[in-house]
Amino acid sequence: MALLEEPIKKPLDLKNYIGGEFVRSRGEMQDIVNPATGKVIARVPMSTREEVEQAVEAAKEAYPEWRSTPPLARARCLFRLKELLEEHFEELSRIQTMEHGKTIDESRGETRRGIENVEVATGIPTLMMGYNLEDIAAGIDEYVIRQPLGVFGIISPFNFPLMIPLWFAPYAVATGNCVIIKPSPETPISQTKLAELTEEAGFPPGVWNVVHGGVEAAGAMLDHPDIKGICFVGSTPVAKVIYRRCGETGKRVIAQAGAKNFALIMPDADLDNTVAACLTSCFGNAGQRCLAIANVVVVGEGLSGAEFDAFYRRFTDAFAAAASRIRIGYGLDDTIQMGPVRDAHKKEKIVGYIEKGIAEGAKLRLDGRKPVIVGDYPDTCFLGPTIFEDVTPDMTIGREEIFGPVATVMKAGGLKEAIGMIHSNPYGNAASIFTRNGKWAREFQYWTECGNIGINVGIVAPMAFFPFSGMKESFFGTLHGQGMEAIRFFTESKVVIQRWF
Amino acid sequence: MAEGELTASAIMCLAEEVEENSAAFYEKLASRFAKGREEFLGFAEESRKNKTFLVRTYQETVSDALETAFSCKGLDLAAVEVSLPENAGLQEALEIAVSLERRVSDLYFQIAEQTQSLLATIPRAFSRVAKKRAARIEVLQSMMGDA
Repeated sequence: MALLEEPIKKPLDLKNYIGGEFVRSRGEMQDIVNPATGKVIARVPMSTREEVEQAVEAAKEAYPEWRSTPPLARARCLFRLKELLEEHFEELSRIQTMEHGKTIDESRGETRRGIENVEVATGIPTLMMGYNLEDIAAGIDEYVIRQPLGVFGIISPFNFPLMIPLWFAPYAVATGNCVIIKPSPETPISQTKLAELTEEAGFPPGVWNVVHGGVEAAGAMLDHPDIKGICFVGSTPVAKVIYRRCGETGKRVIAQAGAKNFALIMPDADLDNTVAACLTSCFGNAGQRCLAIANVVVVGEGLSGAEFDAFYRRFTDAFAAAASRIRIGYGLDDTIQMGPVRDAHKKEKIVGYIEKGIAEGAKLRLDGRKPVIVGDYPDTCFLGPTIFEDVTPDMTIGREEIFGPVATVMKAGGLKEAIGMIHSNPYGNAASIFTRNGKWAREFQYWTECGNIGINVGIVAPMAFFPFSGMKESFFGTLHGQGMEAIRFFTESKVVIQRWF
Repeated sequence: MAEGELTASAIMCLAEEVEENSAAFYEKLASRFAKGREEFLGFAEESRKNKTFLVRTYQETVSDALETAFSCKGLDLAAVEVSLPENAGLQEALEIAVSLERRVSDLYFQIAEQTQSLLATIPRAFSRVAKKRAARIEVLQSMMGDA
């Protein structure tokens, strides 16, 4: 077993980063526990409303000078940040594994995805350009200027502690705004480390702020009249509250919410690659990913009853066999393929769903409740992959977001029926089809009401230069994070019509 | 996970170790034998560059969508080990070096083959370094003739 060195040697006392200073919060401190080892690795403050207000004041103060800083100079800060992120790539990745539990390969992937957003935002001198047209009437020209708005808030979830704030923050500051990031109180260390790097990169005090905390801090951000917009990623019930409250206070909002993603396995799918993709999607990040496939639908389009049964059996046998071989343990051991879930409460909730699945009559094909753990670690947060068969979309485990390493397998007679199953679910984050048939793939892409569509792709994670989409109960807002849509979200289009006498 | 079965992260750790051990081995040859010193130091320097190149390629392309259960199977991990006996002469040292290069290039070609489905850049990087390592064999063999 090769355990990589832990970058956190003793518990950290996390501070807020306000106006370019790391300041101790007056809020109550909570322990952050490494879910694999059970050891306390940090203490995070639950910041107060007043501390959020201080951050807003610092951001407001920094804003006029920052917005008038030439875009190229702002981009240079981002270039320096990118370099620092590369320099600290391994440290940042290991911190994510320690605070979240994911494997080191998954953490490195997350770090890379975060860096890619910084890279895209460095193109701001081009991305932020407006447009114009001469002679809209005799001697009159018209043009659009993209201007920043001021201060934005970013409220992020526990499952991608480094990457998710980077879907938004680089674009916000590149366009001349200032940000206040409230990391998840469950995984706040990555953002503290990132704040240190932004300081080193030379962002002026107040441009990039981090306020730790929970509901009180988030509420203060939602209520504050000087915060112009909120970016949120989390559960659907909270996203709805955020969306409503942002509407009440006139804020722009991106609220990315829950998911229950389907994958359709067509009879002509390449079985080996499909099983590998499903494994990654269902059990990667211990299933704590809004793009994870939760419901795998084996589709019998064009098959006789016997052929369909044989195809279903072939897929489920291969899927269950491969899942049962996944090595579970501490993510800093690089022989490990799946880490723990974030905490004991989440494990308990996931186990509750497994029990509900059994009670509702689904067949428990692979039981992950008592996993074999590699290494001497407490089993507090560990679960193995769980697979259910004979699941229908109306069962609790087929309908609700479990957010853990639990996959259900369903059956559909044809493509149309399978798409109907997707539509019967309230969520619309992602859906995938596995097939060699272009017509089926096009039909699927055309009709499926989900924001992110995969064709022979299990995790439909949009790259930094594309928007991270979402529909139905999975997204509340208009513009999305990442790429050009983020640029539009963080800027106002000012129209100028001019004539010279 | 069976012996010789490695995750992507473990593969990169292995490659780092292989290149670091190789560099140290050639530095030792350079310090012990005047003949071929330049070539040995060149190989050591190249190994350190290989290490940087492989790690950078992995870090620049690793994705959060990396296959969870991905692993390379049946790898011959003996490629990591290389040692030079205290009393080895140049001829013996060159034979050890040739054997090392064969094992390393075979290992890298094997990794390149097995990572085809993963991320395009990673198999390409391993193939490139495997070719460089294989090319050393000819140089070492020509030195054997002169030794």
